[in-house]
Amino acid sequence: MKTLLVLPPPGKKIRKKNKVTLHLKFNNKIYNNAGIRNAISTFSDFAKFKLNNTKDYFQVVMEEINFKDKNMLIDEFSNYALGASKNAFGFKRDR
Amino acid sequence: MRIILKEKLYPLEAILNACYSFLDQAYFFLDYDEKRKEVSVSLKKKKNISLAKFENLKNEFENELIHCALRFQVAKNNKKIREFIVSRALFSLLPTMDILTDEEKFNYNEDPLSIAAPWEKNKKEK
Repeated sequence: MKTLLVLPPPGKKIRKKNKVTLHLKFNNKIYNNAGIRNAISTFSDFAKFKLNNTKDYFQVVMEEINFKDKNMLIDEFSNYALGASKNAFGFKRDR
Repeated sequence: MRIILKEKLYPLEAILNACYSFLDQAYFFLDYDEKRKEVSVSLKKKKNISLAKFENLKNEFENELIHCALRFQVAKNNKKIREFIVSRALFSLLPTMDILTDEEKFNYNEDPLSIAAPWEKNKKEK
């Protein structure tokens, strides 16, 4: 798989944990469970993740974000999830 | 930047392959409309990419979509032939079994019909 991760190393640890919570939705027709879980495990150092399944979407909740640029984190996470889902696509597609 | 693609024209596998080719140049986010059978692809520029290059990237992405869709179609059409060739190749590697019994094995020294005769003998008789 391509090395897609271009995030700089995390900055200084902030004393107060960031209370912002981000919600991401990934359509389960395009993204798959294996790809999302792969992305979560890769990005686990930058935030705390929760994964919920609904009928049509995977809902990813990001809490206690330990990274300065949240938008960049979301974009990189989405890209990684897409790549991981594509690689897992040839195998069993689970919802 | 957002591109709407019909699933009938561009299979999902082709769209994923095309997006995968450009993951290092832009951010992609995909969504699917169940009613319209459409995939929406949202592209976002990365910081290290210039605006002009990003504009060109959209055109390159559309070309890559066609390329991937064609590859998918060709692979689908040739699926049975490929499976046949691979199974034939694997079958040829199997060891051959000796299925003849001892009674059925042919011995060339035996000549029950007296067919074999030296040509010199035939010549003298003529």
